[in-house]
Formats: sequence, C-alpha cells, structure tokens
Amino acid sequence: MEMKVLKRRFGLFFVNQLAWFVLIMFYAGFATIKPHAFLNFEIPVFLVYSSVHLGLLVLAESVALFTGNFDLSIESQVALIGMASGVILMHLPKESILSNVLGIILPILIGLALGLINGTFVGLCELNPFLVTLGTFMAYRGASLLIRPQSIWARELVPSFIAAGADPTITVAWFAVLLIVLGIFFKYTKLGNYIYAVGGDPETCKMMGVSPRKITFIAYGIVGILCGLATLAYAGFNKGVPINVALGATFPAFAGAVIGGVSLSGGRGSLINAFAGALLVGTLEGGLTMFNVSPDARKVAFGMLVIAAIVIDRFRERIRDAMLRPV
Amino acid sequence: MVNLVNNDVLMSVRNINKWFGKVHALKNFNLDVRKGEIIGLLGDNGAGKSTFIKIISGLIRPNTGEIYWEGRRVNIRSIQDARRLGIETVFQEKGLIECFPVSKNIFLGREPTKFRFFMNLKEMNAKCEKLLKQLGLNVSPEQEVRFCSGGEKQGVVIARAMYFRAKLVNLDEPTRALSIKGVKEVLEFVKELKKSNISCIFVTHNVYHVYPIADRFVFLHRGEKILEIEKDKVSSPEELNDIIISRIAV
Repeated sequence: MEMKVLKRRFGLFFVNQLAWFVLIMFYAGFATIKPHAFLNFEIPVFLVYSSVHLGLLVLAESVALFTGNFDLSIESQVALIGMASGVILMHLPKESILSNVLGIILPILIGLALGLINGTFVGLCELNPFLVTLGTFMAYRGASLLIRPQSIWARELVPSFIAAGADPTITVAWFAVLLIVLGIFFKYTKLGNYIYAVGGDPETCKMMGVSPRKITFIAYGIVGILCGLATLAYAGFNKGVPINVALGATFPAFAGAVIGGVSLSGGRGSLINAFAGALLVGTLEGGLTMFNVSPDARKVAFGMLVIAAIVIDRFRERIRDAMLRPV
Repeated sequence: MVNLVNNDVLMSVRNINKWFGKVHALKNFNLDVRKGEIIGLLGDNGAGKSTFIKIISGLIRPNTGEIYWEGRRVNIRSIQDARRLGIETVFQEKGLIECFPVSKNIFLGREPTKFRFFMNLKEMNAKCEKLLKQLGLNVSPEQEVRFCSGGEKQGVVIARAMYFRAKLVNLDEPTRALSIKGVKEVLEFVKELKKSNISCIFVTHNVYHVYPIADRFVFLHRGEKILEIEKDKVSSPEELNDIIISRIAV
C-alpha cells in the first residue's frame, strides 16, 4: 500500500513537472552532440538570462490564461511602455537618484495603466478578450511609434532603466525572486486563488460573492505590471529600446505557457512550469542556432514543438486524472 | 394563516407574483417555513418552483409581494443579501468549481485568513475534514471536485451551507440525474441538516425522492399553489400522488 502511494506521488510529480524533464532531455541531447559548448557553465546561465524577457511575457500571458481569457497585446504593451518611459527618461538628469528610481518604477506604472485599460474592457465591460486585445495590440504598437518613430539607446537613458536587465546575474536573481513571490501569491493568497477560481467557473464565483469582473480587471493589471518588468528586461538585453522591441513575441509567449502546462480554458497552471516552457523555447532556439540551423527551419521546429506540447498536454491530463482519481 | 410573529416561523412569503413578459410564473404565492422543517416543493416543469427559489435566493425580484424573515420584513436584492440572512441555495449542476479541491470550494469567498491576505490552508483542510466526516462523506478535502460523484457533490454544497450556519437551505432538484445510491446519499445529508435545526426547501418533481424526509408538501401547478399538506395527513407517496392528480384534474 505504502509503495503504491509512493509510486503515485512520484508519478504525479513527474507529470506535473513534465516541462522541466523535457527541458533537461533537450539540453542533454544538445550536450551529447556538442559537449564542449553545452557543458560549459556559461551556456546554461546565458540561456536562462536570454529567456528572462520572454519568460516575463510567458508569465504575463499565463496570468491572463488563468482567468480564462488571454492577451494578444503583451508585445505591443512592451513597445509602448518602452517608448513612453524612454522618452520621459531621456529628459531626466542621469545621475539623480530620483530619476534612477523613476527608471524602474515608471515602466511598471505605465504597464499597470495599459493592463488596466484591457482589464476595463475585458473585465468590467465583459467584452470579448480576443477582439479587445487585438485592438489594443494594434493601438499600443501604433501609439509607441507615434511617441517616437526611432529607437532609443542606452546612452540617452537613465542608467537604472538599462541596468535592471543588463547584467545576467542581477537579472536572473530578481527574476528568481519574482518567480518565488508570484508562486506564493498564486498558491497562498485569496486574490491568487480567486484568479484561478474565475477561470475555473465564473458563474460559481458570482454565486459565492467573488466578482469575476473585478478579479479579471485586477488580473489584467498584473499582466500589465509583468509587461512593465519585461520592458526592463528587454531594455537591458537590447541595451536600449529598439523600434521593433518584442515584435512577434506574443505567440512564443503563448507557446511557452502551453508547453509549461497552463490550461487554455482557464483555472489551471503553474507559473514556475510556465517559465520552464519559456526556457525550453530558449534552449531550442539557442541549440538550433549553435547547430547552424536556418531561421526558417527553426520556425518549423518551433511550430512542431507547440503542436507536440498540446498533444502531450492532452495525454498528460489523462494520466494526471487517472492518478488523482480516488480508488 | 400563520402568525408572522410566531417564533417557530423562520420565513414567510406573502402574495408573491412574478411575471416574465406575459407569462404569470408565480401567482399570489404564500408560504411559511418553520425552523428545522423540510418542505417538499413539488411541481412539473414550468410550475414556478425554480422561480420561487430564485426569488428567495436574490437572483430575481418579484413584481409584488413581501418576504418576512424571522418576523421582520426584508428585501432580498442579491445572493449576498440572502446569504447574510442565512439563506443558502444549491442550484442544479452549479455552485462548485470542478477543477478546485473540495476544501477550497467550501470556503470560496469566505476563506479563513492569516495576515489578512493569506489563506489559512491548514485550517481550511482541518475544518473541511471534520465537516465531511460529520456528514458521513468519504471524500478527502484535497480531492478535486470533478472526481466526486453526483451525490458527493451535493454533499459538499450541503456541507458548505452547514458550516456557514445557514438557517434555510434551498435544494433545487438535488436528486436529478443521480443514481439510486446518489439519491440515498443526498437524503441522508438532508436529514443531517434537520438534525442541526436547519430548514430546507427540497425542490423536486419526484414525490418518491422527497417523501421519506419531508415534513410538509407543497405542490405548484402553472404558478399556483394547489396543494399544501402535512406529512401526517398522507400515509404513502402513492396516496400523495393520487391527491395531487385529483387536484390537477380540478
């Protein structure tokens, strides 16, 4: 009996952490073919660092998915946050403490505001999330170009705006802290629980006095904050705000979330596993680049990975259900 | 006519009327619910049973009529209003999040907390386990609701009503689509409610399901109450059925 319980627990652990196991498998595969490159400690550190900006967008998309909605506008949010904060920060004294504090806070606040605009339409007004975020996807990107139709580089900006995402160790460290904080938030707080609950069954939430409209509104605010943090990571990684920052990042973010096991129908998923999805995307990209695979072929491989993730997810759910079902 | 200040009466509704467009869904409906009493609210589809339950649950408002709660006139405008009074309603196939564990479902919206924002998961699980045991439900607090049988799901919702000390529990077709074993389980849960002196309105169209546990039967037909009879006035469900049929024929 004890052995049976142990087996079941191990099985559940394996199924729940599948994205991490697949990641290790891919990495080990690459390391076997090219050991001198992949067994170098700098490579995994760089892979994690280069996955942080997409990872933050994966987390943002996951939060929207938890509520049973989604957000097509995350990449445009990064562009608008980057340009709007960049233009303001360009005109501030670079050495002042206040402007350096603003360099961190401003993108987060602008992100919150943009997220809450989506939240107002999708949450409070109960409009279709696809159409609303498609609209803001176009509007935010257009607005970023209206604000400034050219890139902004590091030397024009206050140092903190770039520094937050420029150093791999610092970036990975604050990202790890953020993951832990979000993990605690979604597992132990009432609000985190309600975000899942609204995705699980909005009608029941309404009956139990939890307002799906308000919770969705707040969740989109969190999406915006994560986009603000993603902007800092992108700015540090690119050493500025390129005109096409985060262009085309929405779908890899979706893919990362799906690979990480976030349910497309809401109510389920883990942010830590979602980040494993982002890492897997990053490892595959990095690995294939090292093997000189053409960008077009990489896109094909990437697309296949997403489909494989969905198929595996279907089987995983079945196995998980079979393990969780009481005997 | 029951005295409105009678201490035994928990809820009284007087002259409730509800129209949906031209359809008169509930006609001058009167009812008194005594403390700890189980009322079998019977009727065919479209008789007005669910309309009445929705009115006293705060989901819809009547066009005319009054509701008295423990002798005091009240306005029930929302589910929250109803819950504040102590009215819990279990709707068909609703009220539970399937992908959530039993304990999180029981406490949804009213979680015990520590440091204000954090759920006290340990307390939730411990209280839930005690409650499930009391009700004779062999389910783990951490089990996801989708793995519960139909009868167990009804039990979970009844457990929630018991925990939050509801005074009146409305069960809207709780035995619909349940197996024989499931029906038996639900009836046992309802008996537990009675033991805790909680009143219950058991809505069903099946006389046989409600007969063993109800103290009184009310039959609705096309929005009108055509029968109200105490259990001790009938000797079997067959006799009750015969009385109902004779009233409908009139």
